[in-house]
Formats: sequence, structure tokens, C-alpha cells
Amino acid sequence: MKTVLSLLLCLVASSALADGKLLGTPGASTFEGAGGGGLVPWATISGYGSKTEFGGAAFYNNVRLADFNMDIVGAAIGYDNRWELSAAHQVMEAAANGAEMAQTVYGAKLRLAGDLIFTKAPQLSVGVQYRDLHDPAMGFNRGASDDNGVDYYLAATKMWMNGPFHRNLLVNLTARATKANQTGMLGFGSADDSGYEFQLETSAGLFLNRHWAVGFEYKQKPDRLSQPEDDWWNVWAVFFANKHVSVMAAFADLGSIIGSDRQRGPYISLQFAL
Amino acid sequence: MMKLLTRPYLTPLLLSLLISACAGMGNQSSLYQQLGGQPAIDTMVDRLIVLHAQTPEIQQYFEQSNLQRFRDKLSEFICFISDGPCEYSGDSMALTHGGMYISDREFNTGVDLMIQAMDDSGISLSARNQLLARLARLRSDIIEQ
Ligand code: HEM
Repeated sequence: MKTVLSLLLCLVASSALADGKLLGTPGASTFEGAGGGGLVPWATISGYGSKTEFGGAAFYNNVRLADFNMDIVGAAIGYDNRWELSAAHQVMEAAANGAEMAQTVYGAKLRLAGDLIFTKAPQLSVGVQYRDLHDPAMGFNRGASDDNGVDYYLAATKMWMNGPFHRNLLVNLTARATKANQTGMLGFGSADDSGYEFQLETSAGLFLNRHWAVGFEYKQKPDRLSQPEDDWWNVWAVFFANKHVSVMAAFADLGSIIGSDRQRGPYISLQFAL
Repeated sequence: MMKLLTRPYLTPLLLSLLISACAGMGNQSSLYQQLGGQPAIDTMVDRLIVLHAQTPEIQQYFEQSNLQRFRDKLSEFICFISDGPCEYSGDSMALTHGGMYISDREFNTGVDLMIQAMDDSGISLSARNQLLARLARLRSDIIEQ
């Protein structure tokens, strides 16, 4: 985690300032560090670097639910508008007793084909995420069988310059293979089912103007522990002040979490990009 | 399995439908008119030339160029591509930009400056996006060759 952040700082210092992408087109930072929306990784590569350039993003993300508070810091580095490495540290704390679930998510993404805007076909990327749960007790108590896991995903993302109302429209579809319970916060697999599950995730967003975009996301999740978990969704608005600073504010519904239903609330994410 | 059939993949589907539905309706006036006709296009091209001059990575390409010709041809080109009353009399995009080896990044910077120039010339967001969508299709004729 620290290495990623210091690498990013080096990039800033070396001042190879990349701004080879159009404002807003790299998207935001997901809660898992990969570039995308808030919850769903996109085929876009973090940061404003285009061919042969470095770019990157660092973010702080807070989600305030009825009974939990989630704090996340993370960063991603993009190279050549083709590769992305990311890391995020997530801590979810129960408001009632301070019990914590924490994990680190490391990700790598490779753009396979296409360009978000300029090709007819969508931009296509594959990604892997390695999740390392810090204290697996909560997950193990509820039937999880592992404290780390690897996800694989394929994302297709397309932006139409002249979408509805002559606004830029972005649509994303991501297919994920995962064993994670509550995205890994409650471990991986279960005693009687430790195979991969196939899940779909989607985002759509409309740029109201150059700086503001609004949209929503939906993320399917497996449900195989003793306490139920739900699919997640959110509605978001993001403000790109410029190519370096953006803020995403969302209302997120994370469903039921370790027995507490209706966990929803404000989601805010502050991103610095290059 | 039931879960698989729910919402996620419906979004792109529904939105694609929405886009194709929206494409057919709406503004009846030509894009040329929506841009504000020749006066607005000329203002935008003049502004673009100033912005080019202020941006070294773009300016370097224009060092040997006849700016009067560039101004006239680009203005004509935008009139033509926005369904205005012009015939384009300049060279094709491939012929013009061939041999320049304009990079992906420089192309995007160029588009950024065009957006800026349209903004500064009071062209509406909706007209701007329609024009950008038409210009975007030319990218493969302009870059990396
Ligand atoms: C959508 C983007 C673009 C469009 C529609 C466009 C259009 C045009 C047009 C219509 C001309 C005049 C052709 C003629 O004189 O017959 C021209 C010339 C030129 N363009 Fe572009 N252009 C674009 C992007 C770029 C970019 C990104 C660069 C450089 C980074 C560039 C560099 C030039 C230069 C240097 C000339 C002058 C050539 C000469 O002096 O003969 N263009 N462009």
C-alpha cells in the first residue's frame, strides 16, 4: 500500500504530467482501488496518461451506513493507457461495538482492445484482484472457508459523445468470477461451496456538462454464508474540477450486513489524479 | 440462476434502446444552425488558432503552415461536416495529417482545445457534443500515420 502511494508521489515529482485523456474519461476510483465508478470497475485505465505515459489516481472514500462506517484509502497507477495496478485498504467498523472488518485489495488490469470513445466496439479490459482479509474471525464464524481470494473480471465500457439529450453517455458492463463474501470483508467461499460464482455488475452515467456527471451502478454478489448478503447499488454524482481533483457523492445501498438489514447511506470519494 | 437474469445486463440493453430511440427524434434544425452558423464557426476557428499558438505540443505542428489557409479550410470543413451550405475544398484528413505522426495524446489535446474554443465562442453543449461525435469518427484518419 505504502509503496503504491510513494510510487504515485514519485510520478508527481517527476512531473511527467500526463493529460492525454479528455476530462472525466478515466472515471473515478472504485472502493477497491481499480478505476471505474464507485462500486464497479470499468475497462478504463486510471489517470490521464495516454500511450507510453504514466498516470494515476489516489483516493479517500467514506461510506456511512446505518450501522457501519467504511473508510478506504487507495491508489492506482496506469501506464500506456493499457496497464493498471491498484491497491486499496478498506476498514469497516460497526458503530455499535467498534468491531472491525479490514482487508487490502490489490488489483491489476489490462486493456485488451478498443477505445472508450473512438472505436465502435467498447473498450475491453480484463482484471484480477487479490484480496487479503486482515482478521478472518468474523467471516469464519459465519461459515467462510478462506481469508484470501482472487477475483477475475472482464469489463466492457463505452462512451457515446452524442448520447441522450446530446450529452456524453457512458455505459459499462462487468462480468466477475469471485468467491468473496461481502466483497471479501467476510472471507471467501463457504464450507460447502468454495467454487467461483459468476456475477454481473453494471454502471451508467451521463455527463451533464464537462464537469458534472450523474449515474447509477448495480453490483451482483454471491450469498452463501449463514447471514444473508444482498446485491449492492448506488446513485452517484461526480464533479471533475479539473484533471487532478474530482469528488464523487453517492447514495449507496449495501443491503444486509452481518444481520443488520437496510444498510444504506451517503458515499463520498475524493480523488486526486494525474 | 434467477439472480443472473436480473438487472445488471438489462442496463446496457435498455440504454442502447433509449439511444437509438432518441437518435431519431429531437431537433429538426441542422447542426450548422445549432452551432450558430458561419459567424459562430469562424469565431470558434479563430479562437482555436489562438489556443493552438498557446500550446507548444500543438503549435510545433503549425510552424510551417499557412494559417490563413488553415483558418479558411477548417472553417469550411466544419461548415460542411455540420450539414451547412459549404463544399469542402481542402485536402482529405488522411492526406493532410498523414506523415505528421500525431500521437493519441496530441489528438486528445487537440480535441480539448476544440472543446475550449467552442465553449469560448458560446456554442451550446448539445451542438458541441454533436459536432464532437462527428469529428471523433475521423480520428483514425488523423492520428499515428
Ligand atoms: C478532429 C480533429 C481535426 C480536424 C477535424 C482537423 C482538420 C483539419 C483541416 C480541415 C485542415 C486543413 C486542410 C487543408 O489545408 O487542406 C487541417 C490542417 C492541419 N491540421 Fe488538422 N485537424 C484535426 C486535428 C489535428 C491535430 C490533433 C493536429 C496536430 C496535433 C493537426 C494538425 C494540423 C496541421 C499542422 C495542419 C496544417 C497542414 C498544412 O499546413 O498543410 N490537426 N486540419
